[in-house]
Amino acid sequence: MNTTGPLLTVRDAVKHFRGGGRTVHALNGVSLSIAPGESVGLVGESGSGKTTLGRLILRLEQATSGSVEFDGHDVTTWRESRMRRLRPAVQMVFQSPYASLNPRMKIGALIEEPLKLHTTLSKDDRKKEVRALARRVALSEVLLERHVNQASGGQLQRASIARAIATRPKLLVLDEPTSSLDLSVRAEILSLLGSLKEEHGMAMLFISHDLDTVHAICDRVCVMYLGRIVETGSREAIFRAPLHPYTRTLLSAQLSADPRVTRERLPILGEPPSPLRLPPGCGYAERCPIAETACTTKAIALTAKADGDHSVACIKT
Amino acid sequence: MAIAISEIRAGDRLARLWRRSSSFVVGSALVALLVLTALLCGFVSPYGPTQVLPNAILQTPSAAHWFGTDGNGMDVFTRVLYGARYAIAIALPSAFVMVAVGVPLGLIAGYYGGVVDEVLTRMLDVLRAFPSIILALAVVSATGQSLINVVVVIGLIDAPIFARVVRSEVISIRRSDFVASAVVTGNPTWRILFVHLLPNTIKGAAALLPLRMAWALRVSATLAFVGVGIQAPEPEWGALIRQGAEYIISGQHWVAMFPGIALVIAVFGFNLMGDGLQELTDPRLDVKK
Repeated sequence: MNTTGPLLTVRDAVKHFRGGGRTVHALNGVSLSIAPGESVGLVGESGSGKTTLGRLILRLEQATSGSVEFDGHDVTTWRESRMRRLRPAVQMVFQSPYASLNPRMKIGALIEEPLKLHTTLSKDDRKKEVRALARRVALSEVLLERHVNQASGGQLQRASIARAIATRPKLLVLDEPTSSLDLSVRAEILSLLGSLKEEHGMAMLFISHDLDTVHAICDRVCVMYLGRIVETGSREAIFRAPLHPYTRTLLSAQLSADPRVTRERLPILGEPPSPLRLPPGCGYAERCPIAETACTTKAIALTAKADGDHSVACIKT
Repeated sequence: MAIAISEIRAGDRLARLWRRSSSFVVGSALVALLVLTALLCGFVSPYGPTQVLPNAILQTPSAAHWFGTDGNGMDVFTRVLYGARYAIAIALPSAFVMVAVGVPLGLIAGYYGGVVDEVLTRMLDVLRAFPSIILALAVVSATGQSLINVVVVIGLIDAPIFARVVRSEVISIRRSDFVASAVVTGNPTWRILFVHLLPNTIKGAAALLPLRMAWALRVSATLAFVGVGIQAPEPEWGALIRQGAEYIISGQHWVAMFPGIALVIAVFGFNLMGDGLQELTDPRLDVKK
C-alpha cells in the first residue's frame, strides 16, 4: 500500500470499440491521476469519452492500450476474480438509478449486498449498518423494504450512494449522478456528496457535463474532448482563467442562476469530428476560431503552463 | 397500494384473473383436478390399481366398474385414477430436470457470450436437431425402462428449450447498468448469474413450464405406448392405452378410451395453463385493470 503517491493513475489509456468493420476511437490516450481524498471533475460533451474513461477505471471496459493503476497496483490486466478483492475500495454511482439497481431486489438488500460480500458482519449487524447508511444518505427506513419501482429517482440515487459507500471506498466514480434527477433533488444529492467527501475523505471522480455541479464539488477539473483531455487544472484555474478555446466556449455556454448576469457567448461551430475517423491534429481545430494550419497537422500534447498545476493541449496558448 | 390489494376479496381476484386470462383459470383448474386425483385416488375407488378380479374380465362399464374392466380383470376406473400419480411423477421431476439443466446453461451462454456461447449453443442445437421422440425412444430403450430414466431423458431432451429462452433474455439485459453495478460491487460470477440475472430472466422460462410438462406427459405416454416406457401392469396412461389397443377391434373400446381421455384432459390442462401464463406475463398484454 502506498500512502504518498496518487490513489489512481491512468496512463495513456486508449479504448477502441470495433464492430461492423469500423472502429470507434472512444479514448485516444488519456492520462489522469487522482490523489487520495481529491475530487476531480471530468467534463465534456456527450461522446467525448468521459463515461468510457469511468468504466475503464472500474474495469468494466478493458483498455485497448495504456494502464490503470490503483493504490500502487497495476490492475490493467487483473482477472475479475483478483479484481474482486479491490472492488470495495473503488465504487461507482451510475447515471440512472432506475437502470443501475436490480429491479428484483429490495432497496435494503441492495445496500446490504456489499456488506454481505466484503465484511464478516453478522446478519443483525449488517441490518444495523444498512439502517445507519440509510440515515447517512437521508433515506427513509420505510424504503428499505421497497422495490425499485416503488421509490422516486432521488430516493433511488440516495440508495445507490449508500450502496457505493457501504464499504468505505477510497475512490468513488460518479457518472453523471444527478443528470437524471429533478433540479431540486439534484441540489440535495450534491450537498450529500459534498458532506460525504468531507466526512470520509474519499477521492471522487465526478463525471458530468454540468459545470455548476463540478464547480460545487471538485478540487480539480479535467476537460475532455474527442477522447482526449484537452485541459486540466485546479477548479480556480479552469473557471477563472480557462486556456483552451474549447474550455472557454464550454464555460461561456454555461447559464447563470442570476438572469441579470449576461456573459459573452462564444459560439461553437459545427459538430465534433466523428470518433470513427480522427483528424490528425487537434480534434477541435475545425471548430476553433483561432486555429491555424499547424493545429491540423500533428497531435498536440498536454503541456504544463506557468504555475505547473494547469496543463493545456493547445499550441495557441 | 399494497394494502388496497390485500383488501380485495378472493372472488374479485378470481374474476379479474378470469378477465385477464380465462385459459389460465381453466387450465389451472384442470391441473388442480389432476393433483387432487393423484392425492385422493386411494380413497375414491374400492379396488387396487393392479388388483385382479378373476370373475370380471373385459366387462362393460357398469355401476360396479364405471369404466369397465380390462383383459386382466383390473378395474379401468381405478387404474385411470392412479394414472394421475404417474402423470405428476413424470411431469414435475422432468420439469425440474429441464430447468435445473437448461436454465444454468442459458445463463452461462448468455452472460459469457463469445466462444462459450458459441460452443454451448451449437451443442444444444445438435441435441435439438434429433426428432425428440425418436431420441427419447432410443435412449430409454438403451438405458432401461424405469420411471427415473424416462424422467431424466425427457428432462434432458427438453433442457435446450429453456437454455435458449433464458439465454436470449440474458443477452437482452447483460449490458444493463444493474449488471455493471453488480460487478462493481464485487459479486462473484455465480451471484451475478443466479442472484442478479436469474430473477430478471426467468419469466419466459416459467411461462414455458406448463407447456413443456404437457409435452413430457405426451412423450411418456408415447414411450409407454410403443412399449419402451413404463410397463403394464403399472397404471401409466400410455401403458393403459397400449393394453387397451388390442381390444378396440373386438369392441371393448373402454379399456383404451378412458385412459386416452384422461391423458387428453391432463395435457389440455397443462397447455391451457401455459398459454394463460404467457398471456399473463406478456408485457404487451399487460393492461391496467
